Amino acid sequence: MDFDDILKEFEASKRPGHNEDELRAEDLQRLSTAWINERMVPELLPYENELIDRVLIRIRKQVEQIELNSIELQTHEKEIKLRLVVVESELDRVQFLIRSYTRTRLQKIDKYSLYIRSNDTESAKLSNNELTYMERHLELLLELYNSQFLKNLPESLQAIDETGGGVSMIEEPDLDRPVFVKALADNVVDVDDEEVELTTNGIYVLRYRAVMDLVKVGDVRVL
Amino acid sequence: MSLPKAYQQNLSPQEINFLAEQELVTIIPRYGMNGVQLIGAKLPKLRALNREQIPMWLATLLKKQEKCNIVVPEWISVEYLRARYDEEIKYPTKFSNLPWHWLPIAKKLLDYASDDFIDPPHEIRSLLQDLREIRLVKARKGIRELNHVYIQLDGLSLMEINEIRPFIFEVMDQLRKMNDSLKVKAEEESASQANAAADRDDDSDDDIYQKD
Amino acid sequence: MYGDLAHKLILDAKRTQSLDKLPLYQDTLVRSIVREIRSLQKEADVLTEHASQDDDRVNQGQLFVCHLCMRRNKRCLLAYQRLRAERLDELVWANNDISKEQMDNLSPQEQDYLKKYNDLVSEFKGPLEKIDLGGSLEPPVDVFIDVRVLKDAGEIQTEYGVFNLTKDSQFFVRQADVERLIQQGYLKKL
Repeated sequence: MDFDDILKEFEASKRPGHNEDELRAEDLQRLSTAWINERMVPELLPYENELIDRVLIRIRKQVEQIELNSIELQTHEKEIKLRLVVVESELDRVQFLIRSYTRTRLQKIDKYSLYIRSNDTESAKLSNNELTYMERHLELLLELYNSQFLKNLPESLQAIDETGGGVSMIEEPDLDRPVFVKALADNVVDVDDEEVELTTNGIYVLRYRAVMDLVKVGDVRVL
Repeated sequence: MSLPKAYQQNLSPQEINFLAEQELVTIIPRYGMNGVQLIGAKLPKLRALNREQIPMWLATLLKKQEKCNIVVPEWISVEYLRARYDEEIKYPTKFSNLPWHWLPIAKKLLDYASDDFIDPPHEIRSLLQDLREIRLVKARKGIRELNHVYIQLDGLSLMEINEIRPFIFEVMDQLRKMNDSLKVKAEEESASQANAAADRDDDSDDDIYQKD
Repeated sequence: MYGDLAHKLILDAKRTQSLDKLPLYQDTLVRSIVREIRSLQKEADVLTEHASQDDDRVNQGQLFVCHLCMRRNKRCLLAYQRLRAERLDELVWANNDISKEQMDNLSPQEQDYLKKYNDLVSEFKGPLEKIDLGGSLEPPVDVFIDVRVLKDAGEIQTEYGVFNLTKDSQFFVRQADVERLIQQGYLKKL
């Protein structure tokens, strides 16, 4: 644990109206939501930097705790063992959430890398680690294409990000893909020149484009 | 690819179980146990016979170790489920009010805590099955009203949504594409009609509409 | 006919989608397609040179077809290689040993890519080491399980201490610690 971590934790505990336990429970809820959203919507969403950092710090501490307790465990004391089982089971669950979240993002980053790179708003959605990964992965791919055939083509054909000629080579997320959402507030959205009324607690399937702003402000929940 | 195709655009049933296991249930501890600090929340200090609310995954873990009994939620009763079943029949276009994770929670409790049930587990099991079937039939009927703009499916639970999701997405996407190409075609036609109409006598056009 | 070779390559890519293993890299085919593109380019150059000042529709048409064929060939090459690269990525993420047969099916350039992508993924995992990014994408169920010993398996060391696995004894263990012993038939999950 370094100084930054301590600071972050201190900041977190200062947040008004929350005790540490409430904050932890809330963060887990947020993490689940972030995971489902990332899985279900077509575009890459902004990286949940602070949230993930907070949870990672807690994970690290928990792992340290486990290592400490496993030594005591040689005594075969039953309650210690059960407590450890509880801690490890939960740890596995949280690790799974972050793992699936991260790999879902990487899949989208790989798929849309040329598009993300050409657009500042999109690039800003990546963590530093993700950004490095994307650039390097693109380099490797370009190197592969080049060594395999691209460098032997006429110069005018050597680009891999052409958009002309009727078919763009840059793949973009299809924002018109449908999503399931639950309305958390009453709203009216436009879908293809038609107005659709969203009533609180209603469950709707409609194209992502129509509700993407509502997802961001939390007026609908992605299912 | 860092995420296999099977995980894109849908959740797996195991993932829905996972989410359901985050829901809280009430337990009655059989022994005392010190609290445990967890990443997500704290397992409170347990005192024998003192009820606590804890996440489902934790409750079934403790139950398996015979550390507690689980208070089966009120809605998992013959009376409640039968009433919902009657509603399902009475209102053919509505889904009755069941919890968001009713299927996985009921199943998990039946698997791990059947001795905590007040009503006979086999009756609960068959009622759940009946409810599941009648709602599935309804969901399928609802899909007939699918159009390219939206569909409303109030009252469905996440597991049920997940089961029809791939089909609904596929149909809606097709409808959307058909509609888009129709729109393009209509625009082209209206453009060419406008040209043609300009060349033609206006009266004859009116005649055609009057015959309709 | 122009485009036939590329079509073959695409058929191979399509077939690859339904195979568990990547089939042999189509070296000859890829080279032939590259050659075809180059000869198309030559043809295009000649056509451009010979274009008369006035509106020569035939010449323009030929030129257009040349460019279309070249571009189509290029897209096919890229699609083929991209599909294979994605499969290589999958191999890296699956984190299994890659069989010799599979390795033999890759071009030297692909083998190089595989190695470098593997390094890249390790680098990416670094800051997230506590998460085990390469771990299962299925959510955990029953992290700890009861097992019965079916045949003597000696002692195993886990972070939960040493277990002496003698036949018919029963233990409560971390599933991940004994997965292999279950597969090998030493232990049975209860």
